[in-house]
Amino acid sequence: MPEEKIKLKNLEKRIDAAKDHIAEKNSPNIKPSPLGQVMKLAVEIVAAMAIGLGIGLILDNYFSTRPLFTIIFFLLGSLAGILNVFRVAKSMQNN
Amino acid sequence: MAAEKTPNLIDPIHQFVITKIADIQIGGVDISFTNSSQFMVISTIAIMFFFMLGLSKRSIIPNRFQIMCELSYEFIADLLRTNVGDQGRAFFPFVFSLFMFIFFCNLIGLVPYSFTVTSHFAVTFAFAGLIFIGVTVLGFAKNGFGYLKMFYPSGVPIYMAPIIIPIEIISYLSRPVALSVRLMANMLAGHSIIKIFAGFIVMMGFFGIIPLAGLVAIYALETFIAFLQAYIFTILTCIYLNDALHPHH
Repeated sequence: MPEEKIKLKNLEKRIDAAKDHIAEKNSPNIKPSPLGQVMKLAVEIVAAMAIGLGIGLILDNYFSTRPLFTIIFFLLGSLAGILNVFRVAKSMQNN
Repeated sequence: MAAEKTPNLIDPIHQFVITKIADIQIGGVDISFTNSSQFMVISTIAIMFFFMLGLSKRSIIPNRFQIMCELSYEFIADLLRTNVGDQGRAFFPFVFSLFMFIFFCNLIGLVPYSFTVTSHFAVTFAFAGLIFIGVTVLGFAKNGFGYLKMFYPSGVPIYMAPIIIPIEIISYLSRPVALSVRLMANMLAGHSIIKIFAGFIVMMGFFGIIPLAGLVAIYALETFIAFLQAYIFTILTCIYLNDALHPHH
């Protein structure tokens, strides 16, 4: 019964199209405000710098080599912050 | 928001002060029941009532209340499905309760005279830190030491490793800090702005109607931010879960 098969195929197509339509409608379409996006980037860079500085201070206290590790890890933290910002910006661009 | 009590003294930070309700000390550790804990309990009870009342009828044709409950379920289920995939289903209870708790804490914090639990770094960092530890343990449990490959992206020349690996580790460690600071800063800033505008209304007398109009708009924005921040916290948790389950990026 080829006719019924064609009908079934058509129905399948229509169901798929409807599903896509619903998925499109329901996809979380919440756009943060521009200020929110800037905040996000600022927080990323500050957090990484703070972590770098913290690790540096802890290592310096442990080995009493102040300010060697503080400087190194602060720089590494800044680089990590830039990397984070780069990644977040990239994902923003993709959306 | 106790501007009415002391109209001459506008102190936007006063609303965040933690006061002890019941002083409890066990073995020298202070585990007092504070106003923060009080509002956490209120949020939890509110969530329980929300679902108990909404889902008590379990009708096939839901009323509006039931639709709200089902919507929140589907929202998080969808979030997990799109961000983590089928493996994420096991984490649904955790992610769902996390979202509902943060969302309700944010919302209840907007009620005048209440306390915003999520405006304290200790609370948000407790969440983010636990998520961070959990995700890291999960990553090692699922991938073994292969999880460490996350810190060394493929295609990076070997002589770059001494620089790249510390940077990646710091970047990884900064996740919980960024996650918690974002939620805390948004709540703190929003509530301070509301308080400052409320102070303007008192100061300006009749012309206080202008900041009053602004306050209404800010309040609407804050309600949106209460949801948005809970959503961001949840979606980032999902992304970190996804990184732990499928660590190839």
